[in-house]
Amino acid sequence: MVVRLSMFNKIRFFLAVLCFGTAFLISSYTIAESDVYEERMTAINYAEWESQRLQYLPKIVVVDLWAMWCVSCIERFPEMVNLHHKYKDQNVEFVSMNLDDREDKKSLELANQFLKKMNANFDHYHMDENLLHAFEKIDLIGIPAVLIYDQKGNEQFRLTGDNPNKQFTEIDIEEAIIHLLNRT
Amino acid sequence: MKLIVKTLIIGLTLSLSGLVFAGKYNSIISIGDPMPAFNDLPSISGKNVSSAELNEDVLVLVSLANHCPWVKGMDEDLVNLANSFEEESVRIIGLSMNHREDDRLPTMKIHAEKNGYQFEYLYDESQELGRMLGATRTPEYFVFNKERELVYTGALYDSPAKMNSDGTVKHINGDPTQFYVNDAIISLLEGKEVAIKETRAHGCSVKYVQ
Repeated sequence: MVVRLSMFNKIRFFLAVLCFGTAFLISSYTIAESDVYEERMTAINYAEWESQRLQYLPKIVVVDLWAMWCVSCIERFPEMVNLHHKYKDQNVEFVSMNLDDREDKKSLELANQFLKKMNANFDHYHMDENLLHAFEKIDLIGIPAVLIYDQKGNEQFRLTGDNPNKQFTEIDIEEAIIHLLNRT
Repeated sequence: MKLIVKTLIIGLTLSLSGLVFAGKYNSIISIGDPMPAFNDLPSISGKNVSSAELNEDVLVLVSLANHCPWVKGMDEDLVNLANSFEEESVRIIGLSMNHREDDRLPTMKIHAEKNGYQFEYLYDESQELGRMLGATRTPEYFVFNKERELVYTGALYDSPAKMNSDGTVKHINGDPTQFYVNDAIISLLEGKEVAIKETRAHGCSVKYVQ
């Protein structure tokens, strides 16, 4: 059966296809953006994290603890990206653990955007705990802080700013990594 | 044998020194330690302030940073605390130690005016006082008695407040229920022992020059 359309109907048909196509593209883009948002940080509670980090064994695991409210964390984050590029092929796993308030959705969204902008191609987690409880459970006084676990999953280095006279730098992180690599 | 005994003695000494000299949440200063002296620190008022000229029965030092959302979040409560003791022999002094441009004296003046600080707000550019206090976060409180011994250090209260980017303030655990600094001051004024001596201060890190 051949359906013949008048010129008017052809235009209507063309516009309908155009509208449908546009709507489809917009929705696809939104879903894709949403996927990216989800991909950047995985929400994880402390108990789950303690189990999850063992999945990286027998690699050395370098955990960067940070938050959007921590200006020093933001400023030094590129160091982690640099170190990741330098050591990613040497059995060293870098992960970031975000410590923004889990109820502060705006900060979490900004954190995801920040990670995307940093082009930090390693695993990112968000600690799904009450913020103060998270600090207590990790036994943290402040951030930025970097925890480094050896090839057996034992915490070997805890680099923090807790002592004003001994605050850590990128060099300290790298020396700790080299120390553990040389130990094998 | 001598080596073993020597090792044990050194180990015991180190353990004890850790217990005596390190606070639970502070690697430098501990409860009962004397207040570090400071001289001629410039204030937002235009004066230079020294510890020797402070004669009040209670002295509260608090580390601040203009840029820090945890400072901005509790600013109103800090001002209320200071105002509530203005008739008493209590002195509250703010300290800024960071070298960030927005934490230096010119911005401190703007921040203090905007938030109604009626107390001295000093700039510790050398970071010496901050180091001697072991102040690594903002805000972090240090309460000293008349003898200038540390009787309390840590948070203002049990539910830190953060200012969000839209200017709203949110307490992490809802309205505070324990007001550590306020209670420590009242205990001192009443001649009682401070019940809670140390808490975990939550806030931004102080960046010290290494």
